Amino acid sequence: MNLFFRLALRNVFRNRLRSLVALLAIAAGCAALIVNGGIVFNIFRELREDAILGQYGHIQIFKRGYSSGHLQDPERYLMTPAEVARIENLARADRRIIEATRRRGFSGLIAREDRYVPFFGLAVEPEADADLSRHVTLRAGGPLSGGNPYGVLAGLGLAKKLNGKIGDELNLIISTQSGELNAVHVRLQGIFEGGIKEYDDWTLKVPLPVTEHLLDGRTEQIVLLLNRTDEVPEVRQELESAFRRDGLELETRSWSELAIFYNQVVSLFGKELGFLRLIIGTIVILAIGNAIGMSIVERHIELATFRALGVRARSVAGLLLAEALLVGLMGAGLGAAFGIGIAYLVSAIGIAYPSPPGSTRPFLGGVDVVPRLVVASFVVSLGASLVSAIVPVWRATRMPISGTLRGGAR
Amino acid sequence: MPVRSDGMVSAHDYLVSPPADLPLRVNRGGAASLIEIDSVHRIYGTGPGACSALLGITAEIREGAFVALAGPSGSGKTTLLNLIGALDSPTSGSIRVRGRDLAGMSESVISRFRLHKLGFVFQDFNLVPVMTVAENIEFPMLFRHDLSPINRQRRVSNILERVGLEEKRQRRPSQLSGGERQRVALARALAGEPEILLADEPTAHLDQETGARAIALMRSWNRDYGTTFLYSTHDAGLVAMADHILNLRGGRLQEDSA
Repeated sequence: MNLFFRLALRNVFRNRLRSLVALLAIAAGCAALIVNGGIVFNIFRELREDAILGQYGHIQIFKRGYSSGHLQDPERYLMTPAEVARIENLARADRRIIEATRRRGFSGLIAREDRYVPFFGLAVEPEADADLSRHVTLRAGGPLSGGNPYGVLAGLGLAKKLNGKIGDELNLIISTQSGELNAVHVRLQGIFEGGIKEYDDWTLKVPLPVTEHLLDGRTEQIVLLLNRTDEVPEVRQELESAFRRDGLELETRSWSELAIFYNQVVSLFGKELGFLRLIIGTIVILAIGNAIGMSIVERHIELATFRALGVRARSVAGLLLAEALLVGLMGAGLGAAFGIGIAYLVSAIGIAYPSPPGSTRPFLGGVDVVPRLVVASFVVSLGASLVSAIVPVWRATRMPISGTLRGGAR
Repeated sequence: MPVRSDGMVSAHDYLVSPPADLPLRVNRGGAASLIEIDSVHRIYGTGPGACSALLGITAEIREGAFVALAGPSGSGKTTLLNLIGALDSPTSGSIRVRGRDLAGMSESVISRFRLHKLGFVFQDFNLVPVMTVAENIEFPMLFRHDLSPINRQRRVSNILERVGLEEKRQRRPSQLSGGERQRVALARALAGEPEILLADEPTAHLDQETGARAIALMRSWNRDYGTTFLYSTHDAGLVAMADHILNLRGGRLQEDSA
């Protein structure tokens, strides 16, 4: 190893206690960033999976203009069975897509005995929907079944409003496009909990034959489930190209555009994470700055001697920054190892969370080890130790040589 | 006061009547002028608390001279050495080395000047405790681009052999005696093969015998390589080992003894 770096390394361990404190300060900061970020990312992941496997799938396909116009004229943005078949063919040809299923939203009233409760209906293909409901907990009864086309599932909140029990008979009353009332007789087959209170309070899941009976055979959306979430942008782009090529007037939306709650949480926690990085960075800067400052004060004669021997100020600064870099590298490395270790340990035990705002169920979380977060925490810690050295190093290079040597000769 | 044909003032005459404006020349057999000190004042601080360390020093030191800077504590020896070494700047007057005024040099040029042309030996030796003897000697040469690692190592070995510390090259300064540390400091200063070596009370922490040996070592180097030496001391015995003496008292130059 070059003598310059050998000296820097030895200087790091010159005052072992102080170096240890500095290393621990950086390591603690780095580990805190990794663990805190890992907790936040774990929550993000849980919410994302809830959004994808509980409600939205990865990609949803609609008639073009649906997003802007369906509230005013829902009938206008429905897909015909022929269009659906073409889309399903495209989806089947893509190995990254593991499921493509039809859905249709509608609303109306549920009549049970003398109660009338408004609801938001979601008509699905029972078997295919099971894959898209992995994050939905069945609280009572059984799942939807193709063999029971009039068995329905009510959200937990909706079931409470109905005071419904498994096996209860319900009448669904809706208004058709022509303004007439239509009704169908169904049976409450199960009660589910999706985790989002709004969703559970209003949603009634029904097999598609129910809407075919009440409305018609058209489809509002096709939901795609992919092998991997990170493939969404690529698959979406390719699908849109295929739709244009085939003359299909369709639009797509990804889960991240639809999951408003998820986006709000990510935005909030993202800001919190950034603020935490700032706080930890500041603490590390102050701790290391003090340690490096002390080290320079103790070695001021030595540094002035270097200058007297012809070592340029910038080389002396380079030596001191190399020391800060080494402390930073060791501290950040130690912190990364600690952080990853703590993350695995905590994940093995689990963190019991109460229900988050807007959610209806507590959950058991962990600490995700996110490679880019580990790298970012390492870089922040390393950067903080370098930044902390700037002022003491600048002052060290401005020391008058003769005055410093004279002081040391006392 | 009579001035000799070569422009020098005799030591006797200088003692009797120090010149006000005539430069004091420290010569070595007609060698070229190396250091010219011209009416140098150095005052620390301002106002009533100001302290005058040097008061109008004028002298000339020629190449290859072996000069003792004598005088009691507080006479300005260290200040003058610091000024010649460009570690400090005069309040007024100028110091020229090979005709170049040190005051006109940038920080990088001064650093290069110190790195290539000067060697320093400090009163407290100022060795780096975490480096070995060999590393202490090699360290300043790391910053010289004209020296390859092999050249540096060769110089370290040669100088250690010369100062008799070859077997202790891997020792740390704390494992050496005072005399050995002094020789390491001298070796560090000489390894770069400077033109001028400035030594500030290099024997202050040594017994008289060890101190005399250190000066003898410097003397032999001066004879062998023609390096110009300026060392400060208040030990009369060590002063006597010099070819020339600049005697400082209260910031003024008192005498020149050949």
